[in-house]
Amino acid sequence: MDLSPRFRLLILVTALLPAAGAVRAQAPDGFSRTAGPILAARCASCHGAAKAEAGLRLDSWEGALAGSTFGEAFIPFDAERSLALRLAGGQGAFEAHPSDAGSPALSDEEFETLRRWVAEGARDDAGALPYTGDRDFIYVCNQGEASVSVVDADAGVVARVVDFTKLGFPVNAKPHHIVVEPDGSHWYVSLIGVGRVLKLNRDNEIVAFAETPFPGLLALDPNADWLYVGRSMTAVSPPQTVARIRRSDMTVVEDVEVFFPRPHALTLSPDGTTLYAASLSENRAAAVDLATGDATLLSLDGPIHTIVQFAASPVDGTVIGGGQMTGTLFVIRPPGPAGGARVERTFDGPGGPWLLAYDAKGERVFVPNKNANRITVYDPADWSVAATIEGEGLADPEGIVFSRDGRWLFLSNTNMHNAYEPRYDFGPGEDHSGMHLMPGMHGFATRPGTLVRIDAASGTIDKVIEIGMAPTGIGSRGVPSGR
Amino acid sequence: MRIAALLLALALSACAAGLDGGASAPGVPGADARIARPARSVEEFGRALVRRVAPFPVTDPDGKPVREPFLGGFNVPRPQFADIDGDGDHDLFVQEVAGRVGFFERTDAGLEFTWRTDRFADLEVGEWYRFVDLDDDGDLDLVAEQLFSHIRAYRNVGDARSARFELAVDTLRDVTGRPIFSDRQNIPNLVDIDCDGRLDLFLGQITGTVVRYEAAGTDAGGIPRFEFVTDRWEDIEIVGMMASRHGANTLSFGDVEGDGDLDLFWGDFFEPGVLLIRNRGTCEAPDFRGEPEPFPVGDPLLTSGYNAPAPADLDGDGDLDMAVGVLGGAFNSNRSIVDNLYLLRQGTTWSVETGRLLATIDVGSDSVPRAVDLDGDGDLDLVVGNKIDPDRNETGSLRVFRNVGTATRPALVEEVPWRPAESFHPSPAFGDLDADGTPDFLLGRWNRHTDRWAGVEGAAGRGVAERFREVAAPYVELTRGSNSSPALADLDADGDLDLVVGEASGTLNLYRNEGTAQAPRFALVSDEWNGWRLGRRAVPAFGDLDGDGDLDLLVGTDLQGVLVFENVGTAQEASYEPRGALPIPAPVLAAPALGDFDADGDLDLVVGGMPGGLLYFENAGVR
Repeated sequence: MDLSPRFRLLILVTALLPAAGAVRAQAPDGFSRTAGPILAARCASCHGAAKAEAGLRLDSWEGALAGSTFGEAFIPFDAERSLALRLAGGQGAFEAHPSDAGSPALSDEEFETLRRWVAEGARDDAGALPYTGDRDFIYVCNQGEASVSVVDADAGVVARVVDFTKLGFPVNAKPHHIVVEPDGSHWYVSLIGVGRVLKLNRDNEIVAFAETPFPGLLALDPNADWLYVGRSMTAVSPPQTVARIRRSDMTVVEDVEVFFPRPHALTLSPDGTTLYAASLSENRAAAVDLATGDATLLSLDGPIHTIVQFAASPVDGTVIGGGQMTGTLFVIRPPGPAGGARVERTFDGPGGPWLLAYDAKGERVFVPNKNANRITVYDPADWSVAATIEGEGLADPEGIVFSRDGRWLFLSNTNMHNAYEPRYDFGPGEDHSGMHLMPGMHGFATRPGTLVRIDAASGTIDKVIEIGMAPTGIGSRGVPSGR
Repeated sequence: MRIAALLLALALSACAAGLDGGASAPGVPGADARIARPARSVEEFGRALVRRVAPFPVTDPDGKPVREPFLGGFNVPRPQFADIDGDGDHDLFVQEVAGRVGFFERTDAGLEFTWRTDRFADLEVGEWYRFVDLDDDGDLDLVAEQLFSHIRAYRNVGDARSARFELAVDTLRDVTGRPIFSDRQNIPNLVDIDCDGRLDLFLGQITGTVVRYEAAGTDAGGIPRFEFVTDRWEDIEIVGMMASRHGANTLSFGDVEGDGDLDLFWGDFFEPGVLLIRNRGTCEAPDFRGEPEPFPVGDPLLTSGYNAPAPADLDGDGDLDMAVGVLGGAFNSNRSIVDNLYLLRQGTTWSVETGRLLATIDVGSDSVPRAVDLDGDGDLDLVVGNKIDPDRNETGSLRVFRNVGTATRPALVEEVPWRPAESFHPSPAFGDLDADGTPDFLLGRWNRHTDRWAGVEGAAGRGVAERFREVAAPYVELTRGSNSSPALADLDADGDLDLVVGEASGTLNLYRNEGTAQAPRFALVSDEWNGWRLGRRAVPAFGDLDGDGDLDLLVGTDLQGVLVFENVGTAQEASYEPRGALPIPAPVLAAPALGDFDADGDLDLVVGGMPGGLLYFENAGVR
């Protein structure tokens, strides 16, 4: 597509930024010549081999980057958001760590050395960057602070933060939803506030973008070059279409008519032939045959439901979606020899069903309940409740995805009602980046949201990772939200 | 014939400006002493078009006159009253589309508002606007959305009687220098809530809470600097646990109780009515901690939700009245695509006076007009398709406006809706497909199908539903696509009608009639005619725009207006060259129809669009 001069520059600048994944020819000094000695001397007595408080070891590069029981201590390239540095710097109302534990605070020189090591990528002695290459990343939109947390699924830590404000976008860019290429080579994020869908590579560099009004949820066709974009609420009258984008060059090829206002819920059949969408304003959904453009309109009878999102079974293409207002779950049978798509059954799924997901085998459906701070797991054989998942970190759950291997389930939580008490409350008025919070950007929330890692087999909450403000959409190479 | 038409055009054009008292489109000159002549090129055709909002009488199905029938319709009207001309009454402003505000001047002691412009003062307003005296100089300034989700301010550098606006601040900032954020779907407001002489800025949140800022000094130009006060003003929380990122709201203030302090009105995406939160305190010490009440209390207004209240004492009786624009929330927004600008008046009780404060032709949304002499009386009637019938959620309909006037002095009467097929987006194309002298039509549907209907001979005096019978459904099927919009025209001068079908993707499909005038047989020539991709929602219409004896082409589009294609070939072998868009204020999803409505020998233009109404452009010739 044609790029405006401003965005050509933006992409160029992005490409020239300190590479988020690449190893530079002349890397800065490595761990042992910078942060290592300081951490060993000042921190390892509590965070070392003999004693590893909070599960954190700072006596090695590997330990420092592995983080603690609760998540990362350092985020490569992002000193401002690195918890260890925020504590060491005495941010907010906290006394600087480790002086709060009775030890002398870090000197300014020590702090600066640590800060620079992180800002330059937190490299090892060979100059290699942590968390690069063909790893399994989970991407989480922090809608309230114009950033995306890139989480290493296996390590359970924030491996990078893509801060769009540092790439020339406004603080209200509102990243909303993410999908990821099956091979992990690229990921796509909708920015509501600027009307763009960005394409970023594995190294988190913007490589292209498409303009489309009020982009909302995304759906990626793994079998073809198509990306579909629904509409967000951020307009009085958004288009009644779903944008169809050719991913290879990010050209908006057409706007698929879905007939009704505010098309929000969005998913694809596993073979990519049928697009499902539903309205936030009417009890209507559509199943669009993408080859012919033929649409089957589905009436979602009853009181006002307000369907938020769909998920499609990877096995038989059955689609399920939930009504925000009623808690009614709709099961839609895909088109087949017997006829077009149809609503096969409905059942109660109270608690505010939100973005939902099938597992990779189509044997379970995981439905976050936004108003109840839990996940309800259904058996699609008979739609009985197979399990419920509740516990720490579930606070206005929003998006849900699986890790590539299906072992982990990741759930983003906006913490809109402050149900989750963060380990360190740096106080209202500041977010993770130290940025002043704009009133109204985060709902009721004055605290960051969470990403909860759950053992998919047992339903046990494994880890609560604190991330940015108002985490919403989430994407992965596993079964993504909405498919 | 050409000479006769020219003379007629000359005679009529001399008094064109006086026919209806209607205003011209911005930039189009009004009456001119020079004599007009017909357009000789498609460019001149564009320049010859003059917008009229009331070119001839129109009455609704109940026999009531429609005062300004060609306003274009409303789907998401955002009203506000303001005395912009200092004449002591409330003028009406209505925003229908992003970026501009329409102005309707109060023109009598009753509640008569007269259209002046769709783009007041050329102000760029984003998704919302509010008139307010920011600099306390006695005239109204303006605040509006700065893309995206920030606030801009215009200063009125004219005076209370003659407003003239200059951009004062492109991004309103708080006293610390940080931009003030206002989610663009939430329409804020500014009042002095505590009578301390300082403006307060209120921003509704998607969670149903209210952020308050208060003016704390001014900049060098007198524009207030606002200081953040609270993000939970008066602990108001409208939607509570239903809070999500899918909300939207509007808020406004008025003294509903007449007790000297301002009360709060709230419209919400998840609320079918307007909520009133009474000020239980005083002007100096407001208290809004009571429960929200559906308004009017006891007999609340119920719509599809996301209502935009605009309170004002409209009848000068000392109490508050209110207009309510319905933007369409979670409660089936299709319910409100016609009745969406309510007037509520306060007497001994509150009553809903009308759902159409501005009476105009409005068939719902996505209107597609066609001009045809349906009843064979020698004048043009008007048939308008819509997307979906406001009264029946499962189908669209055709609205017939029968011409009960004459060919030179039309007068349209709207008949009851006609639903020839259970289909959304019925889009007709009229023509005599069997050479029997009665009009037949093809009916495009919202999908790939186009049906064929035949006129019934000898049925001219009957109701419209009895004048036609279905012949084939579907009759023509696109290879791919939706929103079939057919147009019939003899493109090779062989005496039969050929067919062009526009579709949602913006392409045109050409079908050559390989049959006869009596028995058409449409054969697909191209499903991407001329390789054109015209944005989205192509709606074709043919007519000889430049008077050279062949058929030129207009194509309505979603965002590019009405595109012109000049026939640079011949009547026998049409060949089209693009000539840009007509210089008219076309709506989104523009759908053109050509017809000589005043029988002056040239083609006038009617344009439908997303708001569901019609725009009328008289061909006044060129000078």
